[in-house]
Amino acid sequence: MDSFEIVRRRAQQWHDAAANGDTSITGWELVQRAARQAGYGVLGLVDEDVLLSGAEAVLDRGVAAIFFKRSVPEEERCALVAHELGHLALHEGASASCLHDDVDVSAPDEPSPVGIQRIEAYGQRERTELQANVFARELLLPRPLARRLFIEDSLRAREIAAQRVLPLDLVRQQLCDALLIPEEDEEVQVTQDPATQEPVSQDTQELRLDPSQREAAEHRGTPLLLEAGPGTGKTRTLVARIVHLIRQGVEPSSILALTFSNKAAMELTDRVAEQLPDEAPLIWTGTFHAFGLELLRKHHELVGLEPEVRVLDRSDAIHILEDRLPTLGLRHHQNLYEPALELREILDAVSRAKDELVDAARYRELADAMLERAFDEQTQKAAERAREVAHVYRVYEQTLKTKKAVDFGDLVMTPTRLLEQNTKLRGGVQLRYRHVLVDEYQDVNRASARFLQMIAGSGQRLWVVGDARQSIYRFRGASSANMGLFSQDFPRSERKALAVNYRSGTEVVWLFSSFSRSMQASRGQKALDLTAQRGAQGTRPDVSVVPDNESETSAIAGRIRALEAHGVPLSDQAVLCRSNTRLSEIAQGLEARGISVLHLGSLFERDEVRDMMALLSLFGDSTGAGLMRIATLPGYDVPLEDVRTFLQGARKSKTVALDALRADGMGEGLSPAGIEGLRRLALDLDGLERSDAPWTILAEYLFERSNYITRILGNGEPSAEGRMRAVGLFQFLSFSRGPVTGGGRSYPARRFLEHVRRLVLLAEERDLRQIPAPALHLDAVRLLTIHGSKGLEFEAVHIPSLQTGGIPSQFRSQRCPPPDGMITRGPDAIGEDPVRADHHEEEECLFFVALSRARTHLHLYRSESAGSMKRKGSPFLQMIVPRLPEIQGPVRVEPGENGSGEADVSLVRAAGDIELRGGDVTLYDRCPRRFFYSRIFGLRAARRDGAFVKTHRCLYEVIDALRETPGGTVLDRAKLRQRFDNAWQRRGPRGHAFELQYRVLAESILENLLRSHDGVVLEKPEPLVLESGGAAIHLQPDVAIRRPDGSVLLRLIRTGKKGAFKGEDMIHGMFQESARLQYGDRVTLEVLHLTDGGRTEISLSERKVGARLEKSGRYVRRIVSGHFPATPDPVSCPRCPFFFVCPAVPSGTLRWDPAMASFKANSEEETASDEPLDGEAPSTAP
Amino acid sequence: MTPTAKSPTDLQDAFDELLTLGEQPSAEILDQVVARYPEHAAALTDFAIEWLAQDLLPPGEDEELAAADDASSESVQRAMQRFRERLGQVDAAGGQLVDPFDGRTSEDLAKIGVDLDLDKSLMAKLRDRKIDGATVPPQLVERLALALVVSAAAVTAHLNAQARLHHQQDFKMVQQDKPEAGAKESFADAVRNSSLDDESKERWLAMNG
Repeated sequence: MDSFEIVRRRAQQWHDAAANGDTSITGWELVQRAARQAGYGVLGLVDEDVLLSGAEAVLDRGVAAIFFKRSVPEEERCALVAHELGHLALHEGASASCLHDDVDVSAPDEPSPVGIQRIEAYGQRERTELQANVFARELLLPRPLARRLFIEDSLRAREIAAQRVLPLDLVRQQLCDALLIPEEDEEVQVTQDPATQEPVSQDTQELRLDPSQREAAEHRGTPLLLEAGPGTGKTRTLVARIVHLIRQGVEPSSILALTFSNKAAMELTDRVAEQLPDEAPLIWTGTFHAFGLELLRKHHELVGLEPEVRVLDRSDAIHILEDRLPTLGLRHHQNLYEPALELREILDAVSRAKDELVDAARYRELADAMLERAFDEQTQKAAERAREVAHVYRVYEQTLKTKKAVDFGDLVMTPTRLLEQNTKLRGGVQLRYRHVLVDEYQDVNRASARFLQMIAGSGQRLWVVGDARQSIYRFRGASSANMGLFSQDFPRSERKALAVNYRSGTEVVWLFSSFSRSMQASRGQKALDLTAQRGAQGTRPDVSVVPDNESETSAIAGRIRALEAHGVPLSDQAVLCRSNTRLSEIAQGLEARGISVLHLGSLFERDEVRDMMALLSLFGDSTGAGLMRIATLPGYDVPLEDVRTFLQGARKSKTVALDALRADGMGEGLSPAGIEGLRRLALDLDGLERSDAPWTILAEYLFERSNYITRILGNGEPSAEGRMRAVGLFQFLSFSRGPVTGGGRSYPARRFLEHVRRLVLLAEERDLRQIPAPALHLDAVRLLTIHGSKGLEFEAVHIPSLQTGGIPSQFRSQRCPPPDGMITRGPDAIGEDPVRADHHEEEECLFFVALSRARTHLHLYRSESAGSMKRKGSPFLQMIVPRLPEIQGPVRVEPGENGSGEADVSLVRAAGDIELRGGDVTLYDRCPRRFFYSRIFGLRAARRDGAFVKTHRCLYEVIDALRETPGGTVLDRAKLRQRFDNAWQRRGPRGHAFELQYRVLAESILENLLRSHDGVVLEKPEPLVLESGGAAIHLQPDVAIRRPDGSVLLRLIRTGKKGAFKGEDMIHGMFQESARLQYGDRVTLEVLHLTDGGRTEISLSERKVGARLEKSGRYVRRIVSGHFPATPDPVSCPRCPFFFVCPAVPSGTLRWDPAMASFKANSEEETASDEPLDGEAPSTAP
Repeated sequence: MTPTAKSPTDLQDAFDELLTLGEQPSAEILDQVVARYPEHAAALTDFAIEWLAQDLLPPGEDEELAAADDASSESVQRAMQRFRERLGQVDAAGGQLVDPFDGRTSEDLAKIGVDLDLDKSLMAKLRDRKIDGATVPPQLVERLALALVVSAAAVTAHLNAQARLHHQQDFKMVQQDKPEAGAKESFADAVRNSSLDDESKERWLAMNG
């Protein structure tokens, strides 16, 4: 049971006592009764009253009263008082004064784990207020009651709020919790005591320690580094240490317990509270970052910050740098088309530098030193790249300073520097926190280690625990090396080790201990010598050898079922994967084999989440592209052809699609089914405005209007899939309440969706894959990455991919490796060496973590091939001596017949030949579903062009003009320049802060274009035609030049640098062949790269051309047959205009004019018919 | 959070003990004294930090205070002075205050409130010195003194002292630097803003003149 569940249970008890069976009691009556029962008075005061001192409400234990602002309306007043009652019920001893921001009774239990909320949400104060808010919500409307009112009484949010005089948002959030998170059993939670493996009630749990744990817990006098191998009761010993200190008379508020995550901090607080409920809240428990933030808040004036310290997350940081990128004069890191991706890499490097306490000036010094030492082109280039990063780092720091903001890395680096320089402050911190404890010390990086030195001084009262072999956060600068440096950082320190493993059977302990002997992380550590307290279990770990990935999934399914048959429930089994990709494949595979899994995967790829994003896009995107998906939802069922007719109608009349939906005469040209579906949708969206916040739109739709929720819940008995869909929705709704980065003045839904795109593109959404804590009790197999499994344990663990390329994963070079000397791993460690060494060591640690999660059953799997590639067994298997038994041909469970193949789209072709453009086939190659949306259906989605894209659109106008130059004439420079100027005025990045820099960039590219054609007699480039797959494919060169010898040069123009471009794509093969057919052997084909003026001749071998033509022919046949599968990809999908609707296609047929559609679709450019807040323009796929 | 009311005598003992155990504050000494006076843990810690800060002051700073103090205990004196000012335990003349509400439970205060016809808001304001002492009717001062078993002068001195920052340990309040945190109001306003019935209000206001 998570700690919030305990809060809720207590609130329900208060509710039941106060309501006393009165089922229609209002919120205000309820809280008054509850206060009376507690012996408290409830008094309203004028807003300016001195007792309130600006607060909304005050709990005053001294006079047993709750004071609140009298001016607050009744429905909100009850929430204020309920919040204070939460403090009274939950937080011993302290009075409370709650400001407006503290009382948010509709705040979710768990803030969405992205961005700054990761740091802020669980500060000591925030946690206390959150608990009071959750208590208030549950007191006013307990979840069982909310569920009953919604499902059995068919009441909706507004009716419930009106009936009980409660804030509407409270009711919505409570419905969200009650309906979407599965109910937990009412029984008192019983946990396994890790020291004895006996069930122990949490309420009565007393700590029992073995000798090694006791010795560590009671250690005094010197800094202690406790080595705690897997399952040895690390947290128990840490808790025991705190309890011991307090029972020895140590003041709780002098204890600082630093953890690696907020979750760990919460768990630690809860476990200490089991022993010492009054003292636990007084201990400062949190992450290094949260503690750093607290110091910065308290001493903001010393570091030039505001009291409410502004912390930027990665997305914010990229946002503020994006526009400046073109102005920085970068050569190696200049990716103007997708600056966010380049900046992500650079900011990773900056973050890594901050982990090592390397500031911008030092970074530059290191880069300069590299340049001085450079001895060849490669080392020269590496140094130049590092100098560019140093430059961006400096600019970034200046920007942060101007904005009075910090980033995550600063939360440790800045307070460390502050404490280093400010003796008074450092002394104060050391006096205030006289006992410092650190959990997971192996995950500490250099900056945190230095921070710790500043906080703990000589470390006489410092107590840290960790396991170097479980160091799995190298990318954050964590290194087992810091454990090795502990004795240097804190002289006179001692090392001790825990001796007994309580988790696993002898067989599992033997296995991971055997592996540990060869691990690099074992160097300098005590040898792992654990006694398995549970003894032998009679089940040996093994390796199943299977032919391929699909067989591996079948073998895992077979094992899971066999174990289930032997009494191991699904919820006590886990599949641990190295990569999210393989994890998702296995999740789908297990579901297809009828096995319930607890796995969200990528949140924004989930069906129910896409449904909601498509819904939001109706509010954020005037084109109405979201209708493509919404039309497929049961209850609407709008036929495919009707969707197109409707959207085209809206476009023609220049009406925002959402307004068109609500307009009279909406049904013109539609089928009766289409009219009825759209009418129902309009009703469900009635009253909602484009200016509404995403959460408001979603909550209103889900809890007021539609039957979406009841459909998922299936009469209160949801299927396993339905339950996971509900959990996915819950996660998304929580996310929708979080802050949004960027987006200017556009509509909230638009900004929100852009924020989603950015998170996905930057891979910042990964934490949203975590299952929300309240849903963890579902009976389903847990699917986790190994990183995500840390700290967990399961009766049975399955580890797939024990082959090359699986575990260990391949090392990938970094675009911005650290400059030589930044990471010290010995004198010879230069270039990527230290990073590579860290990678290898981390992979070993990951495998060690995975092995040691199992209690009894541990099964490994390796496949012998991936596609046509043969795979060898993982080298890690060789490190286990003696070798594990291999099982050839394990029992398998195959998927049912209902495979997940996507149905084709039913196209009704008009008469006539099929004509396509080269770009069509290229787009089909990238993603057939996107091709369908864009070229066949003619779907558009609004897109806001950045400054760089606007610049390029101007340049492409010049290329268009060049293409139109009459044959036999030379290029007219003045005319083309004029064309460019006109374009710039019309569609360039006018008014942009860096317009001048973009203009300079554009002029340089334009000059390359003009110079390449100066004095040359141009021909009008006629389209080439290629017959392929039964269609005529039209290919358009940009420039044709007749040479003096009569031969022809055809030129394709692209922006960007030549770089590694080879000109061997499918489109180049098609061009080459069509040019040959048109001009015979007297033609040359080349690509001109405008950014650097480079050229690439297209000259593929006959074999290569043949292969490309075969491919294009195959694509044409698939297009004609209506086969348009989606090809999800983490980089291109978030940039696709149809990201929020894909892969949905309404049922029904679609008329297709194969001779016309593609030409028209791409040439249409309309301005949006509404007045957006911040210029949006519809666009087809670029 | 409301700071726990301190008994000045005990707190002084605790300070004295802290001062006699070492020439400079240290974690070890602080731990020892806090273990003996756990109820004064926060005050002792704050004092030790203040003491250390004064110890670390560069020469020349705070000269006025320094000149008035014995050189050997200069930093201690300065720390003590500042600390007491912050706690509101010195009156205008620098004398120590006794909090007549110290040690009273909510039940005690409820009973006094009923006996004196004061509601919880008035009791809380009197306790926290949030009513301007000069506006409180003398009859009330006397009856309050009687009920709290202290002298009327002690009640008057209490009311005249700086208003208690009701939530001075509340980090968020401190950082937002709310100007009204230490504000006082007149007795008449406090009565008007209370939940007393009209008759009681009129009686108190009439007494207030």
